[in-house]
Amino acid sequence: MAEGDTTPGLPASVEATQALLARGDYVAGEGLATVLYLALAMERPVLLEGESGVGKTEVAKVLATGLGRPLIRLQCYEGLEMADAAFEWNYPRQLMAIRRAEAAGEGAPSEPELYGPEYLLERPLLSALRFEGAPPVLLIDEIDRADEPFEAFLLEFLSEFQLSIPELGTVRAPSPPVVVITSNRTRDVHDALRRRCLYHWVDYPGAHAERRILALKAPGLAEALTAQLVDFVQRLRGEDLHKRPGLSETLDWAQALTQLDVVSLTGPVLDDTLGTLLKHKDDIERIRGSEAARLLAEVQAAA
Amino acid sequence: MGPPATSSHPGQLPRNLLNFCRLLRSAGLPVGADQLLHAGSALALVGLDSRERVYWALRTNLVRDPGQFEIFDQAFRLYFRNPRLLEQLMGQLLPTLQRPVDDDEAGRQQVNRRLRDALGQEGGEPGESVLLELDRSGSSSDAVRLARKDFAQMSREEYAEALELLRRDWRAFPPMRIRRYRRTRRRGQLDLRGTTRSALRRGLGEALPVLRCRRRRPPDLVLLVDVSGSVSAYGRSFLQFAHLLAHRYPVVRCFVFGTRLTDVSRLLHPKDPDRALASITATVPDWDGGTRIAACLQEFNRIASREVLSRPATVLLLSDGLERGDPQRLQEAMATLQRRARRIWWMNPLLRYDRFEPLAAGIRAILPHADRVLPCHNVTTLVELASLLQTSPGNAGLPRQRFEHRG
Repeated sequence: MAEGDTTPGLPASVEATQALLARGDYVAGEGLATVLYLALAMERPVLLEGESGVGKTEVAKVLATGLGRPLIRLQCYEGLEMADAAFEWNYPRQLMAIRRAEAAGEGAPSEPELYGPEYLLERPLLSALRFEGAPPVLLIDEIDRADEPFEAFLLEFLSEFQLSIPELGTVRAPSPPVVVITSNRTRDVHDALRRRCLYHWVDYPGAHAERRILALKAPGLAEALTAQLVDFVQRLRGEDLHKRPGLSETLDWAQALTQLDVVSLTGPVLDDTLGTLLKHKDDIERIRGSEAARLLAEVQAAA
Repeated sequence: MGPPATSSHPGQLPRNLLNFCRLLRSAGLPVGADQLLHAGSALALVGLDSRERVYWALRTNLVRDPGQFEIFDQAFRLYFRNPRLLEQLMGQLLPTLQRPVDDDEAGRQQVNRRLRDALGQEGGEPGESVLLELDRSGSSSDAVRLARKDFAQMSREEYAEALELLRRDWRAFPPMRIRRYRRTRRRGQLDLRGTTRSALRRGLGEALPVLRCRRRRPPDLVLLVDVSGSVSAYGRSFLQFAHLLAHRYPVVRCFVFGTRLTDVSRLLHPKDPDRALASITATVPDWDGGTRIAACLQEFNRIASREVLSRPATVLLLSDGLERGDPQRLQEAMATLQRRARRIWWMNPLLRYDRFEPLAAGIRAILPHADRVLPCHNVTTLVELASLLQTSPGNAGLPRQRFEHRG
């Protein structure tokens, strides 16, 4: 979706931020737009928390496209290490250099030689600090999956936008990258990390916003069906479920209905496609059949 | 970056903001000075024309937890409707908003009382009480007797001493470290960083390969503690134990249940165990009441699938298993729990009876889904549990189905 070859500047107001997001087909409420505007203007990282599938990761992608910046993504997982996240030395090359020096009869190379920048392998965090041109957008995705030691390690990075490499010294960004951190809140992220960020809770979209999003992302769907579909999903979120359907599930469902050439919601269609909305066996068993029919009746009555 | 919008009342703003933050603090939101400064510059950026934007600019800087949104919203509504109103309202507002602080205060008072009591008896010198404690540890036969005594049969003084004993024996376990790799002399993967360093120092021919292996990660713990009438004495002492665990293991979640489930994980955070226990007692509504084990486990499973058991954890279930409801339902709840947990250890106070046999329907429903059934009625059994946790690594282990009478 990148358009034009001039890199656009930072948005100068909340409205401009909202417009930038809208250009990437991202419907953002006043709250999210304000927070992102502040994050860009105050050069601070932003922590987005919310249930899965509400569009947290998408924010970073749209920001990168809208600002014309490269997106650097760090997916977190348990046991994530500095060597995977920040930097690593190129050991084979280092060993080779020692071997070469020995073969030439020079003895071992000096330490500064062997730990020079040319032996350094960049991982996402380091490449977010060493860039040319405009600073990139760094997405640290699902921080709650990484463990506490990794969070602690991020603290220096987030407050100073720098990394300390023992052998080389401190690497500092010429200008701060845009940092978006997401969390599904499967565990609490440490307070020390929170306070270095602007915090925003991304909620499920309201009916109005969800209809607008569907109109943008699934234009093939008839307006009446879109309204029905959104109403159904909104009601479904009110049910007692293991995992309530997020926005991405709504989009999947809309996609499925488009593929199936559905014109209006009926009981059988619902039962057949429920798997795109609900991802837990217990949830599907609970809703399929009579519960789904009841919700559908409510939707039709409200229309 | 555009020029920061100029605020319409430059002089007024910081003072208002300062008062607002004071209000938030008194309502129990921890607002730091850095946050205040950030909030100030955020306001300068978004301007003061839109009330909604002021709201978002302040919230993103001052609140870091969705659980605090409600308090923030109330405070914001009150304050920014008419800041003048604040002083008049302070009196009416604070009692409702200050509840968490109040609880804290109550806890602190209780702790103070305990301290005073303790010092009063020992003649007011803290040093002396330490000496007395050392003395007591010398007479080991007393300690042994106490360690084996049933929690439910202890006098108040004995109970206090027993807890002291528990904390002392507990100290024998070295704290667990969670660095993720360590050097090893035996099997392991090649640590290229270390090896390269060694090659640089000694030359390639002389270099020694440096090996490393994964350090063991202590297991995540989930404690489910029954505090209904029949087991509350054991529940109470187990929570003391839970407090110790919470300060040693990196991840400990603790739930208390009787007729309903209460998450008390955060309440274990205070360093002082008495203060932590006081706030738990104050929070849990159904202490010493009836039991609905199945319903509470189902409720736990519902929450657990979202967050608590997102990583496989060791579940310690303390309960006598005496369920009056449908055993079928209990069995289903246990089966779900077992699928999600790495292992389930059932701490059953009934094991204090040597002739205990699993006859009750509830007990038979839980039994097939517990990896181990262990006693928990005195200090010795709890200390042994601690050592079991530490020696068994995070592996699933062979399901060992037997009663482990001890103590």
